[in-house]
Amino acid sequence: MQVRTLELANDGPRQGFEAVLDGSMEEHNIPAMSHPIRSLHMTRLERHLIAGLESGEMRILAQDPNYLRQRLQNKLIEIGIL
Amino acid sequence: MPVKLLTSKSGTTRRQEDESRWSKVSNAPPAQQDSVRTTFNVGSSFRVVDQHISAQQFAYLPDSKLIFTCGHWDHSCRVTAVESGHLIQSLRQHRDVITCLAVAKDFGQRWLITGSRDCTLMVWEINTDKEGAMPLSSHPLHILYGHDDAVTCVDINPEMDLVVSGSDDGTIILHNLRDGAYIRSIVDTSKTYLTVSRALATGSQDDMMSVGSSKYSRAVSGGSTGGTSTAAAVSTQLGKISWLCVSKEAYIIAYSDDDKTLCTFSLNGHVIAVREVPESLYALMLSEDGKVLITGGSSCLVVFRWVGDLFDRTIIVKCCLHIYGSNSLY
Repeated sequence: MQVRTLELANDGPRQGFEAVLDGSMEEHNIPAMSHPIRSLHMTRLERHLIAGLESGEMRILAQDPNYLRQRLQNKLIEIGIL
Repeated sequence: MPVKLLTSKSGTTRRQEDESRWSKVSNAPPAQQDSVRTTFNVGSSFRVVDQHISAQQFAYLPDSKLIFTCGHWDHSCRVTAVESGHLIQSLRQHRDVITCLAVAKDFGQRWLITGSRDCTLMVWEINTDKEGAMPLSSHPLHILYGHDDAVTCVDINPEMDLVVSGSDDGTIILHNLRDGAYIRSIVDTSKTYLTVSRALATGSQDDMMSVGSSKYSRAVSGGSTGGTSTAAAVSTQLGKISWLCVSKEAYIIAYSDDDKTLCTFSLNGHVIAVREVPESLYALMLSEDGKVLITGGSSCLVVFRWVGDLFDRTIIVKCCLHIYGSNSLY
């Protein structure tokens, strides 16, 4: 039986994804978010997660493009196109 | 007709409390002001962030490009056009400041719900089809009652015909969206739930005796038989509901900033999961499928959590034991 207890979502269907994001990206020299997050918004089809910080800064977090490609490929396989 | 003023435990009205708070802000020394307002140096200019402003006071309707705002001093709800930036409509029907609002649409119908410190909610129909007409009618479709204190948060699930609201009185109330009928009240018993979990984890006999697992389980499930002492204990431990979300599957996720707990309830008011979080949460939202809760708060982190799934109380308690046994902050 699968039970969800407000645990971090890093298992099951979300296995391999980070459940705690600080917004940093080492390869692009983007530091972690340094102010409290005041608002969150997800764009259509969960492509981007927009975080509004207390400093007035806005961070846009994007899905891993490889994941999106893989998801599209899986859907095409499911409906029998590939 | 006698007018009943809403008074606090100290006997002062809420308006007096507000005035006193704001006078403290304007007259207090900078060190005290910082507790209410936070000043940031962004670039070369200073900005003042009001701690009371939250995302719950804004709603955007993409197809009509309208922004609905609340929290205005004149108790109004305002509608602004995004493209022109002009104020289209300002409505005053509540008797106190509107604290939260939410919009929803379902098969061409659109609704706005406003929750106020006057302890009521109002359901408005949004009509943008007629050219030149106001998007909101001058009177609400329904007025929803039931809270004993200021309404702090509201969410809508139009597919389930559901309006869920949270209040400073620690209760969550469910109403029908389309006819405004009262469904049920859910008392936030998350603190008691945590007490039980901790008692089981630490093996504290006192805690276990004071709560009593059988009585506790009846109390949290909303049962009316037995459990009166536990129910009394619960009623003294209510935390203010700070934020609410309702998922597509009608799970209700409530956050209380008083004890920093997240709690998932079923539509029937059963506690599904409770988690203490190590930070103050300022933003909560659900993924499109409603299975993942995304939170942001004072720790500057975006956190993803599972909302709830098949429910078995014994397994939940075991999970809680595991959680409290570990040293993980999250």
